[in-house]
Amino acid sequence: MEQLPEFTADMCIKCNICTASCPVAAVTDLFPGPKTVGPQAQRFRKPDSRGKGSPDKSVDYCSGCGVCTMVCPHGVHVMEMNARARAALYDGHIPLRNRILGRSELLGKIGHPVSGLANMAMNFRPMRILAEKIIGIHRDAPFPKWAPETFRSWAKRHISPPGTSGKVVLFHGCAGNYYEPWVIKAAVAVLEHNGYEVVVPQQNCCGLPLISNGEFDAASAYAERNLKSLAPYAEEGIPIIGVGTSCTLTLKSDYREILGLRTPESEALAAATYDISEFLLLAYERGDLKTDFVGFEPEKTALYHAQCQLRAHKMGLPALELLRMIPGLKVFQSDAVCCGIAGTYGYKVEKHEISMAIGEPLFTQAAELQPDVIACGSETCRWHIEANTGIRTVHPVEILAAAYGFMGLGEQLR
Amino acid sequence: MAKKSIGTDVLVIGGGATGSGLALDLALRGLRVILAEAGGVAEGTSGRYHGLLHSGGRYAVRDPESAAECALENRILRKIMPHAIEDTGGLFISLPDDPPEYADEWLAACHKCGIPAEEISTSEALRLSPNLNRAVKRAFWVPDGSCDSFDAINSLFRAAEANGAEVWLYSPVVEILREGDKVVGARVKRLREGEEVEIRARWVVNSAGPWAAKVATMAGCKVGMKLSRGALIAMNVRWTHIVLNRCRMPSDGDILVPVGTVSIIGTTSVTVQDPADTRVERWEIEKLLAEGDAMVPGLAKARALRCWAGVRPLYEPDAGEADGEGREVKRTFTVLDHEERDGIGNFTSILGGKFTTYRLMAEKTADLVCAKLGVNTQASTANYVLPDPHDGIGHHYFLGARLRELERGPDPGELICECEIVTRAGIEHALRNGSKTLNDLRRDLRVGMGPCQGAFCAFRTAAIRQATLGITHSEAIGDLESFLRERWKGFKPLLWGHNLRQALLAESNYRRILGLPMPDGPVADTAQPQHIPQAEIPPAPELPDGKGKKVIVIGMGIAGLTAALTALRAGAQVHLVAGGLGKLHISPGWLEILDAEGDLSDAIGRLTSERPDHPYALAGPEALRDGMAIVLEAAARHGLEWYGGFGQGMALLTLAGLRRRVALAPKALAQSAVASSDTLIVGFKHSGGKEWRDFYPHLIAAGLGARAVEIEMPSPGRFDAWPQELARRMENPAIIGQVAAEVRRHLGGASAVGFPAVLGLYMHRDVLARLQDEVGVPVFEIPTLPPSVPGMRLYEALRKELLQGGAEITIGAKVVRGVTDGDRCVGIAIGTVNRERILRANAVIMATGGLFGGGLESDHKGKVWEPIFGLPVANVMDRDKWFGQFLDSNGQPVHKIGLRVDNSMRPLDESGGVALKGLHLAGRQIAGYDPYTEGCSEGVDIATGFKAAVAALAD
Ligand SMILES: Cc1cc2nc3c(=O)[nH]c(=O)nc-3n(C[C@H](O)[C@H](O)[C@H](O)COP(=O)(O)OP(=O)(O)OC[C@H]3O[C@@H](n4cnc5c(N)ncnc54)[C@H](O)[C@@H]3O)c2cc1C
Ligand code: SF4
Ligand code: SF4
Repeated sequence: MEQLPEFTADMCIKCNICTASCPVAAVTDLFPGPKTVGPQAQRFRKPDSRGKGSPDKSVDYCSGCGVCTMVCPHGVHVMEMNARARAALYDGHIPLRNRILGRSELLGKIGHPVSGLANMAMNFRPMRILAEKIIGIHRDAPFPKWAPETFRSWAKRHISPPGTSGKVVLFHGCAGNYYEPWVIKAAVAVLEHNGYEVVVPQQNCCGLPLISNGEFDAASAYAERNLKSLAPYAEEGIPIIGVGTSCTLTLKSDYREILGLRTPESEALAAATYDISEFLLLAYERGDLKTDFVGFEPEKTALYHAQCQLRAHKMGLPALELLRMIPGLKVFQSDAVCCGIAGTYGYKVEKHEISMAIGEPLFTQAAELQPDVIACGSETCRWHIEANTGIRTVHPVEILAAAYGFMGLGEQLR
Repeated sequence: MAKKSIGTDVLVIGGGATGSGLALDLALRGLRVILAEAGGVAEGTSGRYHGLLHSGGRYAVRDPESAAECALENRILRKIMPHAIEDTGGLFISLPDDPPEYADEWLAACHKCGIPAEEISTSEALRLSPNLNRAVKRAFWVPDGSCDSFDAINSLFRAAEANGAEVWLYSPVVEILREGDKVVGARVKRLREGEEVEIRARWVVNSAGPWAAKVATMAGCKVGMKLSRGALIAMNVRWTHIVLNRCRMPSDGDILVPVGTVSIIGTTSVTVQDPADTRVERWEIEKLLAEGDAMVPGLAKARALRCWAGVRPLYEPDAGEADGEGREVKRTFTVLDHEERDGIGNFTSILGGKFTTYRLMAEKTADLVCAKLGVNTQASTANYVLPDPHDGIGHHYFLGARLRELERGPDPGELICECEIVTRAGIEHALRNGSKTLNDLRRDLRVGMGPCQGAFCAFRTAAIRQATLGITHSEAIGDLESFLRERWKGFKPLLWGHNLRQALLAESNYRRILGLPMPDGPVADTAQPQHIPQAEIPPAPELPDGKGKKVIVIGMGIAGLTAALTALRAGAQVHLVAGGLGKLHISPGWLEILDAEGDLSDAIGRLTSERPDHPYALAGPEALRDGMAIVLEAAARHGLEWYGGFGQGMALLTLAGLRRRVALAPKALAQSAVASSDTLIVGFKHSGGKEWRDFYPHLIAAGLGARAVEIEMPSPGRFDAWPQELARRMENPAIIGQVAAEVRRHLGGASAVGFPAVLGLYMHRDVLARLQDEVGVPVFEIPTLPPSVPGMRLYEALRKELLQGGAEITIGAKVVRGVTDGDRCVGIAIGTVNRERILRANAVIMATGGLFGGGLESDHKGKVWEPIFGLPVANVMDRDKWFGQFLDSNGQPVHKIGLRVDNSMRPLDESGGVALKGLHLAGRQIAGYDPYTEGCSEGVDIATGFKAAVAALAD
């Protein structure tokens, strides 16, 4: 039976393994834990008890980090269940803050033409205090800076040489387009170096920020548009490669699992989508990855943090495996299950403290280790980690680009 | 028995829906009524029914009279008992196998009987019930509902009492008194009061449901009945939120009703002689699941929570001419005027009917009685809104009500039964208001009715009961055991798949965490205070050279962790892959090797020579010692000091204040061996003064004959604290200081102090040392309910050791199949969220656990399979024989099911040859032992984990 996540509650045997592993329950009294708000509460939920009638309240404290689903030995999709319960909780009453946080693409668009000004405003303390008071976005939460040129406008000028290894579609995501185009450029460089022709078709925000802020209808509209422009490539067998692990997860699974869009197009897109590290590791396993790394001299250190969204891919840690191949790079693995930001969770004023407590083990480890860079595949995590450790935090593909000699470690590719 | 005599207008015999409805009706007409019910609330058919408030649709074609009655009463009951009714709505669905012409005939019949049935599109039907079979051909909406019989009957009792009736529970009528050809009363045994009462009544009504023929006989009347037994299965979750009926001639398994938190599939029809024959036969279970699966595909694989049967009290006017099986006997009811029929006056029987029509049945019966007694008041029950026993407001029952109360109330209260959301306050209230045993509490509050099978809540409730009623340790534990034994009968027929996993978790809790079953003698005698030596860690074993080899280990339990560590120590490259975490989080955190008297090494020697197929014998005598050397040493590096060894076992204290034999344990747990009557047991309490729900010091102390004290919990939160949360708080030196100061105040002359096992998680060693130092006497830990902090400490230690040694760990990746090359395993495939990923290795070690961990799967037909490689499973007996008695002292046969291995831990096929090369097995998956009664859980895991790794490297 192909089941919606809520029905996996049937398999919960109440062992509490998820409860013991949840990073939020570990640091706050406001959250009773995954089993309680997940499979246990699910038995008392009905699809029509939404909005005001919803019996839930505490499920809002779930950060969506996915640790529970990962550790559950009995197949319960706790995190996914919680995401759907959260959406029901907000039904029709979505707070302004969630609406803002959910619209990273719109924010990107609005800020971009006036990036200089916008950046100033975002760093302007009184403005942030006001934002905290009025809409509940914490004053210290990391907001990125708008880049002077978007990735898409760079891509318009850039001509990807016809590859020896075939064509790939690049899904850059909102952050990659507006805030960190150099990360996507690094991905393009690495792919092209390995003989792939990179295509950048029309695309939207994947919709995840909307999903995690409980706006399923708006997210579905984004999803439909992406399906329309990307599914034809997928159907032709052209891999769709994403750089943000959360974006790729949304394409791979959330459209179907959480939004419930189960169409041939969504199946095709899901099947063709790859996380960049996953794609490169598979190429390596086939013997197709160039290993002509120049490496690092003298030896450099990197602390790799596996971000939450990666877990739900259930594919292991391909980025770590790639980084370990690089000569002259000593890689350490972060011991924290979550950096605390968990998408947009840590932006919310009532959750900021929880978020900082969750990230604590990672920040301590980084402070002790003092690596040259921290590597992490998710943008919000990178901003949060960099803001709290003061250590340059990059996407693993940027380290690969540096290892191929395209730029120095920790520099931005122009 | 003392005798009493008492007079009344009407005596009603039997307090099911009919009798309680009748008592109210008569009381409202101004008559004095006594209702005598043999059992408790809803003990008869009314408490064993399907829960469906019929729209009438089911009877429309064949029994239009019943159908019309149902349709009418459905509307009335929604008005008068909204709190007991959930307005689910219902669907009649035609599946491809159902006769297509029936649907039209049915629809026309419905309209004739006044049932507002309405055809809807199949896509609308699928929207209303998303799990419904997509092949559905036609669908019709009807105003079905579901009705909780406990709530309904409770409120009928209340209303009757409020109007002057007396309701006597546990009061069987044992004799009907006659004077000449007139009935004048009855003799009633009052079981709880221990007395016998003679009731003189102007009229007696027999509403004893399926027992009505027996009761009629007491009055000298012969009544023909067709007793038709029907089985029902409650599925763990609501697979549908709207009632589903098959649109075909009524038959087995064609209704699925969402009632409260479950959905109930039913029913069957078997003619029986005895009204107490409520067996459920194996064929009935399989039939119901198969039929349910037709409506909701996948249902047969889902969790079936409990099953039961009820007996329909159908009237059969003339035994000779009954037309066929029970379901075809008319479902209308019959009021028998025995004066007219048998010449016996002042006596009436009411037979047949439905739950849905109880009110009408009561009204018609009362009409007759009143006419005879010359009372001319009319029935008013159709407009009499019944009181809500939960004191709610007059809206329909709402599934989320309990959850909302818990979440939005001023204080969430302590959740004792988490599955059914029962709080401590509720339990204490019930105990003060007549509930005596755990079984009473179950009936009153639904404690222990949820999916966990009482694995957590039953013990908590038993401990609260002990404190509230002030009873002895053995009385409390005795009642717990008898409650669990009784529940066990209901679960046993349904143990496969995830429900079986649940039963195995429960067994692990009962035996290992609680130390059940209770020994015959007094508990304190089972162990003399022991002096426990610090363990000598055996010398590091010689290992084959693993350099350049890649080993994949599947499974994060202690067997997998041992195998991974061993391979890592040998220099191999190790990738540990697991679908989820293993059992350490729910284990007590100590290491059991064998439950045997005397020296453990000798006992193992004897065992292996007697049972050459035992995993200890197969792994060989060295494997246990060598594996232990690796595990103990790794854990010691992360702060766990080990005590005990391979000599005499230690008798460590359990959460129920009993003892369990353990070979090796971390210091804090091991020191409980010294516990005696001059020990102080310390627990935590909320600021409100109640103990923390996962540890009950008074109960443990009662078992030891020792003292207990509760101290304020370090910073209690809004919700119940979990063990690991308390453990993290205990890592704060200021809190240790406060706790120690409190304990010193209560120390008296105690020679040692026992705490719940929450003395630090990551900094346990420091917490223990500091606390012991500040308290001034030895301090020990006693396991709590899971998650187990000592288990987590061990897990964390081994995980860190692996990561620091460079092993790769992938959790949450389900291994979907093995990758083979000819007769050799060369890797595994994991199912990522959207594709398979192949991981290759020189050798694979599978330590995925048994029927609990998912290393073996099972289904309702009793099939058992190994899902990754499809290896042959040994010792599979018929499913009926998987389990014996609850906590059977011979162990449960199901544990012996498993995979056979040779002494290199290679899997064997049926003929004894190696099934697959390059693959080695470890842990619970291996056939032929019972970890719980043999007390060898961790021992076998570690021995086989070690052996599998060594053999894999030598391959
Ligand atoms: C499997 C099954 C499913 C059903 N599903 C439905 C359904 O979904 N909807 C519906 O409307 N109906 C349903 N019914 C029918 C319905 O349950 C019964 O018709 C109804 O509950 C009968 O109630 P009652 O009060 O007549 O009998 P009971 O509930 O059996 O009450 C009789 C009572 O008499 C007591 N008693 C017996 N002997 C004595 C004595 N000597 N002294 C004192 N007390 C005595 C018994 O303890 C018992 O409590 C179902 C029946 C079965 C068997
Ligand atoms: S969701 Fe999974 S891990 Fe959590 S309690 Fe249930 S079965 Fe255990
Ligand atoms: S998703 Fe993360 S925060 Fe939410 S319940 Fe699961 S483990 Fe806890």
